[in-house]
Amino acid sequence: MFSISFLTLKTLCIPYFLDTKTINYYYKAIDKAFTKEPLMIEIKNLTKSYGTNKGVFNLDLTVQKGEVFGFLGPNGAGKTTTIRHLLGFITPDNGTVKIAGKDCFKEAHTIQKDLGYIAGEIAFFNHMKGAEFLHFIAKMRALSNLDKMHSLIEFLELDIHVKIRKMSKGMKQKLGIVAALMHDPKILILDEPTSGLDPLMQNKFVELIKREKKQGKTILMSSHNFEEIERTCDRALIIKNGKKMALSNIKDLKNVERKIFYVALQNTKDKDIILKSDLKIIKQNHTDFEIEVSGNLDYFIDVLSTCKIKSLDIKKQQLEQVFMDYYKEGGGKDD
Amino acid sequence: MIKALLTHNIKSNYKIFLIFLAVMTMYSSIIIGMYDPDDAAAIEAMMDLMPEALMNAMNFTIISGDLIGFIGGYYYGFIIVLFPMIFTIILSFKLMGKIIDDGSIAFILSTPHTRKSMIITQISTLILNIFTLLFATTIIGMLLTEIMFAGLLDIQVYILLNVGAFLLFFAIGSITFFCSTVFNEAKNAIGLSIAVPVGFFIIDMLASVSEDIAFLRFFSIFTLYDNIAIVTGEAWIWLQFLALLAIGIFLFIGSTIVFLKKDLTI
Repeated sequence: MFSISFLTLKTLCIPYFLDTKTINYYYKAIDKAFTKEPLMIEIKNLTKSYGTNKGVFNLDLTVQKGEVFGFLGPNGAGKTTTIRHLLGFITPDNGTVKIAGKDCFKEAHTIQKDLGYIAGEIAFFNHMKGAEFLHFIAKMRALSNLDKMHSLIEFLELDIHVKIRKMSKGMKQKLGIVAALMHDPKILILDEPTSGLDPLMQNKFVELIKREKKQGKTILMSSHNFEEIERTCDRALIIKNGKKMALSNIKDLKNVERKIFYVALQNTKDKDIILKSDLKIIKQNHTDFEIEVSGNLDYFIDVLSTCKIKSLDIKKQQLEQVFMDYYKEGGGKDD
Repeated sequence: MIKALLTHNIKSNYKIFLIFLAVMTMYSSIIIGMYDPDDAAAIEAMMDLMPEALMNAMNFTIISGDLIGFIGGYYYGFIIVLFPMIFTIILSFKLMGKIIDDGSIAFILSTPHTRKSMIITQISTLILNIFTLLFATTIIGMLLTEIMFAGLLDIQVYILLNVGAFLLFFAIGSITFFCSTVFNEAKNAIGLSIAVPVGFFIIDMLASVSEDIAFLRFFSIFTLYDNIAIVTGEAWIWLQFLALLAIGIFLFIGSTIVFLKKDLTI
């Protein structure tokens, strides 16, 4: 439909008024706006039950081409179960799981050509050296160009001439990252990819993900580190007990952020105003208050306007805290 | 069949292979060395010193006074059963049970190969290892007898003994492999793949000890490898060979079918 009207527009109108360069610019802009990015990952009504609250229940999830998708939830929420479906390790009780339009279980081997995977708990062939292992994986993938492998090893500062058995958790994680990315896959599925990495390496990893994203890769990653999700992802899904809790743009998530204010009053008598109000007081030391405000600030300002304020300061909560609230609240309703 | 995986499997297991080959070579050279073509009675006298029940349990029988009757009784009664059995149990666990339990199979399955070609590679590795082990010990045995007792070995019967042994471990390998494939947890996989063949082995030993419980032998797969019947040239051994082959094929196909549908919590 769009293409017809667009074509009419293209052939009839614009050429008479504008020069070719400008026209092409508009063409591209219009094209981009109307072309829907195809779905790379599509999970519909997925159910896999391992007993009450264990597994995944009626989960829907879509990731578009070129999107970085964050997958959050407490331990045992069903993240890894969902990811196992995507890899074709397990079959759904109900629902469909597709990558690039292909069934994840039946066509796992075709999907794997363009897929990079980091497992939540990576188990290697411990008797091998890092280099041996990477060459084995390269051979399994019939990969002849090892440039990306070498640049990743260099970027992550990984020593590959060590037996895997003797590697630290962080080193193993790096090895897993190299093994997952070295064939330059179009889709990345990363289950807690930064666990075991030191903060410096976590930063490098975020850099790496951003670089992959720039190249148009589709990425789904689970994590407990909110900062990491915040810095890399476009959208995030929170699940708990196998059920969808919230799906949002990262921007929206930031908006529901809780804030904590430090309020110091000039007079002791104003204390009662604060104490009698509906404000959520976390801490109080004489005339010094720590007040938590979620969402709307109006009421908070109203109350404060009736007091004499010595100082007002804001303590920015880590977004992780927001997620903790999601985890807890959801659990309360469910249990 | 995945060539890279086959190479990987061989590289990862050649050490165990060599250890078993060395142990079996040692035993076969000792047993062949014990043979005295001029005085079969002397050996019998030596064996009489051992408790009879123990000798029976280990299937140590002198089938006939010639060389094939001697090694056919000693080596092919016990050593050929025990060591390849342990080898088969260890190898099938390493090829399937272990990698399913610790999750390292994820690396294999996250490469662009089907589960079918993966499991066919693992089965091939197992069969190839068993075959090579028995082939090598066969050749070594032939060389040893040729050096010590040139021209005395009945080659035809000797090869039949080894073909039978290969088929026996083709069947036992299919059992241990099946156990390793079916279970998700190592303790179940290794537990059952030890329990079944060792159970058969114990039943076989018990059945040999006393005539009263000799009927037990019908509950052991080792009954299908009758070293005495092979040496004495009974015709029914071919039926036993066929049965071993059938068991092996059936269970290897069974393992494949199970694996293709299996949920892997890795």
